[in-house]
Amino acid sequence: MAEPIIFYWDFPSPYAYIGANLIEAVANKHGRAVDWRAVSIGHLWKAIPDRTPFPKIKMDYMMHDWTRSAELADLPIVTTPTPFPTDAKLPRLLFYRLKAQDPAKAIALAKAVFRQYWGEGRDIARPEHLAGLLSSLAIPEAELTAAAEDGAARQAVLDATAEAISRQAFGTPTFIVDGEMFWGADRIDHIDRWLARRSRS
Amino acid sequence: MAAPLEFYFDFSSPYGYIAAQRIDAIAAKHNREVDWRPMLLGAVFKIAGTQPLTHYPLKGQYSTHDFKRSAREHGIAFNMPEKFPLPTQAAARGVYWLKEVLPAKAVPFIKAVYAAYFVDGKDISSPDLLADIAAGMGVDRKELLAGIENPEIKDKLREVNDDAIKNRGVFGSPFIIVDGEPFWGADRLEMIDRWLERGGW
Repeated sequence: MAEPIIFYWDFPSPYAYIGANLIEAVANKHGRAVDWRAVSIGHLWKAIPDRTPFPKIKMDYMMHDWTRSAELADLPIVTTPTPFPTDAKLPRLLFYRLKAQDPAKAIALAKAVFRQYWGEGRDIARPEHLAGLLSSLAIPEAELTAAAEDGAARQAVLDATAEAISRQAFGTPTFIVDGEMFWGADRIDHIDRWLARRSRS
Repeated sequence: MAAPLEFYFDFSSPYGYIAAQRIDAIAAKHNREVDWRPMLLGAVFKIAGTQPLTHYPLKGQYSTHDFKRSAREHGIAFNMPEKFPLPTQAAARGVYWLKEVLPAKAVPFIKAVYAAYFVDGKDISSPDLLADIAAGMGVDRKELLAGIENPEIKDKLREVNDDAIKNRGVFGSPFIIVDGEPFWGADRLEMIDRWLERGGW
């Protein structure tokens, strides 16, 4: 099997929410796996000396666009969760704790957390909100408590973030396809065509 | 016939150039016209506190890579000009003058100016070069040069720019308004196609 598509993302990114729900179908179509690597978007941005400012006129448009884009993908969307952005440290740790045990379960959890925040607008920084997601995924509640203190999970977040920075990523979602970087949920169509043309040549 | 697609662009915008090669086909498919509205991104940058995309570290390098990849995908000739960005008032005024006196020449002029810059790397800030392009289309050089300096044409460009920024929410190029719905970026053309197909969502 060819190299997996590497997917850098963080929960407070609306386009990562959309990307997380679209990338797998495209990857499957081309016989690729997706390697989900949560990063800390705050740390990623801090590493960029001169980040694009978000003037109000652009932010207004972006909110309109991520709502429209989620609707196009048939995903529930609240436009602005409360609070926005939020501290996604705990769900990131839980993601990596589960990934070490069962990657498929970690991905299911990530999608449920994304949906809780962007689809329902509930604050994913609050452990009681996250706890509500666990039973349907057959994840013991003790995992959540343990995740907060999980040194290996913490290191995994730091490593993935450092790796994304070293690959010149500057936002999420960022996808790496055989070394080629694609930024944005709106580049998933391009990835599809990129892989389709590659397999023909 | 339904309202035209309002196509705002700056002559110094690579994604504007790419969208300019594709917008006609999408409009025609849905039985729409395109209203071509050159504007000045410099005014947006001043108000919004932003800069040309390529000036940002990381994002700038990625964008240059993506301009080329996007052009290749659609079989569009593209060479990143050495002098970038350039002032584009003269070219924009040339368009508004043609729209007044020789409207049939306006769109061919736009496409020829874009090609002169993004294919041949010519300095399209030069009125002489613009006059050469117009002359190649059977327009009198002197008349075009006078048109570019005409105070009414200067006012027209200022009006379009002010209205775009203050009333229409335009902050980048290309920016396409479809029945009041704003779309920013050459990568939104597929979404415009679906929007027109479905009548929005």
